[in-house]
Amino acid sequence: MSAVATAVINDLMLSIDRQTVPICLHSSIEQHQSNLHAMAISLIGSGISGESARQIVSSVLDSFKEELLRTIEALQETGDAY
Amino acid sequence: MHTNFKSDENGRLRALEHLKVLDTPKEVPFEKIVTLVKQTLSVPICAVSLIDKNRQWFKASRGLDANETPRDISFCTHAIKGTEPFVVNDASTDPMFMANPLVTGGPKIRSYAGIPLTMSNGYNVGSLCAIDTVPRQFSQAEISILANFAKVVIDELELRQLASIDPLTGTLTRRSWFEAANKEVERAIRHQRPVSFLLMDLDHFKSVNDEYGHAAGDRVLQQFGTLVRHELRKPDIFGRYGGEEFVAVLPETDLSSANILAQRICAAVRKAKIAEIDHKRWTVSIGVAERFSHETDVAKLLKRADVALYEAKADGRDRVNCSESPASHLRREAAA
Repeated sequence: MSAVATAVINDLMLSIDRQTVPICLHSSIEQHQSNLHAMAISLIGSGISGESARQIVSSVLDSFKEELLRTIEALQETGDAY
Repeated sequence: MHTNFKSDENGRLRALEHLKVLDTPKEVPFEKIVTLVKQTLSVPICAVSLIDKNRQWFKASRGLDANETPRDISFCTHAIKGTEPFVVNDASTDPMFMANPLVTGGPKIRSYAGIPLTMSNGYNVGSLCAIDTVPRQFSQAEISILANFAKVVIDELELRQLASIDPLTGTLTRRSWFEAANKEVERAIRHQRPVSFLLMDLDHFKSVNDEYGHAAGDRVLQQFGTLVRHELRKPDIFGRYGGEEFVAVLPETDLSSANILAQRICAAVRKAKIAEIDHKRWTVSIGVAERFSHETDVAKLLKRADVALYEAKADGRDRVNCSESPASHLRREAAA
């Protein structure tokens, strides 16, 4: 169960290029990854299929990525995002 | 279980206020989460509820008509008392809730599961709740799913906070400062009250970076942020405009008082010594502007502060220069 969840999360998180993300946001991404992993485990553990769990987690991650982009823009406007 | 859980109500309300999320419009991530919880747990009602002093306000909800309810009848106010899930299997037989108007009337709550939203500072600002209109025992797996969605809500709230604070200096980011400045100007217009702006630029900052390196330059910026915060009052709005330029909005402050404050900041910088630049003298130039009664645009106000700052730089730096006062402006307009 954990292996499926890990595979789902690792695959989804590939879509975030950390080299383009300010260092001050790295811990937020790691925290989110950890939370999504726990979410995937709990979803799969409750009997939801791996594919359905992937869709739910992917949907949540998409929102986070959009907010991440807005945050990066806000920090860049101010100055020392990197 | 959060080891740093804090329960003092004043601190909790400050933490909630700090998020600047109350009464904000609907946002996709939170809407998405309540939809997913509703579908995944098969409940008719789900909400991200934030517990204000006297009300619970819903950042997002499904199955509820209201945007808020009085706090004293909310279930979520009980959920934020600790760090564990708060669960009610049948509210109609629970002595604490059987007479609650949310149980006896709409939305006819029968079962409730709420996960406190414990921020990384240890305060519970609200809860993510799943509600059913029939008695129900939420399974451990369902509680676990709800708890994980709650963590994602916290991620989203905290990410928004990161966007508003400049990580180097702890001041507001440019975007966040503009939002706050616009609100303050709107308030000043509504109540016909004075409001002034400071635009501050560290003198010869580029040479600090060139001579001592960027780490020393960062230390100077941090020290400046600390010094200015020390001089400002609580309602003043302080932000980093970009690079070595900072801005402050001073509510209820006319040009003459703003000038006194700006002079104090200049003096404080002159006195401050920083080891990373060998205790060398560093200074700041400040442009000051007070809003004219017809001015509604923050950018235009800042432009006048910028012109004043430019003159302060041209006059030799390490000084304050004030833009025209509203009274002088009125006299000049009348004479024209």
